[in-house]
Amino acid sequence: MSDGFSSNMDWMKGWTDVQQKTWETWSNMLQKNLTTTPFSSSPFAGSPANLNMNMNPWSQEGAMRFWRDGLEQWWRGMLPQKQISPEQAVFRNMMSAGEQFQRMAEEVFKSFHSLKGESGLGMENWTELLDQTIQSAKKQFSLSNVGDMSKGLQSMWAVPLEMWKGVVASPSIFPGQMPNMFNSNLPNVSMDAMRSSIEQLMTTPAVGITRETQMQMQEGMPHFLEFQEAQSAYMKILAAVAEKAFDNLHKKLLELGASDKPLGSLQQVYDLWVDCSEDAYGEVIVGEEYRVVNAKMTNSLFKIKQFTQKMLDDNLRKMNMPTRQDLDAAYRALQDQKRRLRSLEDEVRTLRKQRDLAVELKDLRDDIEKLGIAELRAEVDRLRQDAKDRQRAVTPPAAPKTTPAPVAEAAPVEAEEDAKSTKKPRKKAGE
Amino acid sequence: MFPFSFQPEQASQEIVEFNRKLAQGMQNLTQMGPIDTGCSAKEVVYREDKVTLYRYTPLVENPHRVPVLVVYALVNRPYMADLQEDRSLIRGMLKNGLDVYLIDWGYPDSSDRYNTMDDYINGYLKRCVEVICDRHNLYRINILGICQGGTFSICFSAMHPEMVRNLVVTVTPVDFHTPDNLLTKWAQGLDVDQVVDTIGNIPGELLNWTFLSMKPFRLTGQKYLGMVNLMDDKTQLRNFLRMEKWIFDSPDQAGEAYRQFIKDFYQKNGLVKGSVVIGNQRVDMRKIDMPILNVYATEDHLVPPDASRALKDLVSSKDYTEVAFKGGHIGIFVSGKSLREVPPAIANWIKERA
Repeated sequence: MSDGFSSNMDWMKGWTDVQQKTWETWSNMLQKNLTTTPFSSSPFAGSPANLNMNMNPWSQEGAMRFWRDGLEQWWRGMLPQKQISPEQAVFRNMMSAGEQFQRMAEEVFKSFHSLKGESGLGMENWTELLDQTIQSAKKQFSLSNVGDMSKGLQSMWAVPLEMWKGVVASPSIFPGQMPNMFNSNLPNVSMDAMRSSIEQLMTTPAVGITRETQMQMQEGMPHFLEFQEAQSAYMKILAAVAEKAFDNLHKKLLELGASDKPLGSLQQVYDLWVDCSEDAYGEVIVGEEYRVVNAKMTNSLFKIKQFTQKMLDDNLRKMNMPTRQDLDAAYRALQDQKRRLRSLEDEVRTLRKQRDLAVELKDLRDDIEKLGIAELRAEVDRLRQDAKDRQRAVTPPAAPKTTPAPVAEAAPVEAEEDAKSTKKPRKKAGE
Repeated sequence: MFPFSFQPEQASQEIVEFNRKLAQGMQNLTQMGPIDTGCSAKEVVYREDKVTLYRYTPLVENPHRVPVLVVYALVNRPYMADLQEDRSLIRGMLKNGLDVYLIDWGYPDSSDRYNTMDDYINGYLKRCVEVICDRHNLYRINILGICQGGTFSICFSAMHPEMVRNLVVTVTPVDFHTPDNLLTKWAQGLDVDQVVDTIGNIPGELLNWTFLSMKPFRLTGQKYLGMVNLMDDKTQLRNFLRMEKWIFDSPDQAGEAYRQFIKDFYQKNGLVKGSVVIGNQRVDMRKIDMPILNVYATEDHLVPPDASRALKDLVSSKDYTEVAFKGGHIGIFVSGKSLREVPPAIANWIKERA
């Protein structure tokens, strides 16, 4: 164990040094941008005040804001096109990951700083400090704080939520607003109070010229409530996962302390933190509760989308403009026509093949005819017949077979002679 | 013992170094230019609606006489199979003497909202096979399906066995209800009819979110932190960006095809139960009697190995081979090790059954 840990001043100084050097690094880079990029593309052109020089770079918020906002400005200056390129998307993800890493680093610095500070604990009692730190971190994820995931280590847990916000924004006609529409973490507003107010609204009779619209909104309110409840349940699950992740981290750090295999860098601390988070998350997402909550959140989101789509269609219809239903009907008809066309093309192709085969067959038949096969056949037949005839002429007719006559009395000689003398040739028919 | 061995100066230096690398790497990031994808030369041989059939230029003088048609999934873009010169399944197969075609399903838009699985399998896929048969004067060809494309290929082979000489499937889900299939668990409660009736085509972002939320901390945080270390190397940075481009290049899914795929496959496990009907034809796995090569990844968290291996007991083929590759769902196509093993394995297997 190094003497360097014995002094909390070393860690404070260390963090201060980090901030100073960070500031210098990015200042140099921004300065270079100011001098190398054309005036028109530089977001800083003409106004050093844009840099918000009054912000304290040594504060956490100051450093993070500088980090995020300054780089975002610089990036826009370097790539002014509106569409997000792969590089910009990667840049944003990198910034987010970098921010998480630095927040984690700050927590580590703070923890070591307090080793001999307010806690009064020394290095020999690091397990107690670890326990205090973990419990304190877990409290940050209590239900009352679960919606505000922009601070400290909670920002890492904003990852799944930020992704979900992006998903919700893309099919929604209220981009970006949906997850916050009924944020139960608004000051002094509880979920029950929110629900109670909304239920009152739902049951208020609709009156006046916009009566029908009011009734439509009342029909849709349950969907919004359902979505908010589903999202709250999802956030509670995330909070539980975060607590489990901290427990995993606590356990791992104690194991490392006991095993004489300490972590050698902030990167290793970060990697361990990710492992613990993924393990905790992985255990939860295969469970039935997560499946049900996830499905409810998705299904309720699309109920809202369906409801808002219907309202939009009603308004478009009133303005005599094409609606979603009209488009769907057109696309359905188009698809039917495409299928019919393909079917006809297939039929034509088959018929063409058959025609081509028929032509081939006819050509083959013609070729066969040209070869004189028919004549050859006729000649062979004649030759066969000739052969048969010749054979008949040469070969004597075979003697008719006689069956032995029964033994009879000898006929009188005179009668036999008379029979011979009186035998006349048979007359041929017609003679 | 205290679980951290680094000192304050070391920790602060680490942060400063991180910032320095990041700042320096930003310059490289802005100088990348367009990110090219697809390294092998190809030509268009047939087009229909958004679908394009490509033939890759052979790399040997006399390629194998029976060509292979690569059928990719609808969910991502097919250039992943030809990402870069040293990361290309297509190139590997070309080098091993195969004649390779590929179906690019394109980017569906609203007009494709009513495309069904019948349109894709008995329509586009069947016509592409016919085109290849006509070009080569054959009545059947080899088919290689990737992931969902493999499932499509299986269905096609069951409905048109006379058109398939040999069937190769890679990381292909067949049994969607294995206990370790997370996507199936999540799909069970989903009201997919409502989703499709409401928005028609399914946005690619929604699918991306689903895949990323399986491992959010690694895939949206740790991965990018690791990237800082390779930002100095422009080649590595370009490779990273190329992969990133593919990961987030997710086409929208045609509504009706998506509806049927989720309901009949993920929710009802229809292939195993024999209940899938495409068009007016039931998919009868017992009609698959041609030789089959089934390649799967042992560490695949999207398509668990058992989900692929279930194919063996469902088909009537007497020539069935399995190849297990140690890697993940994507790694099987882009890792150096897999590309030394998988393309030759596929090519040799096909050539033995010429």
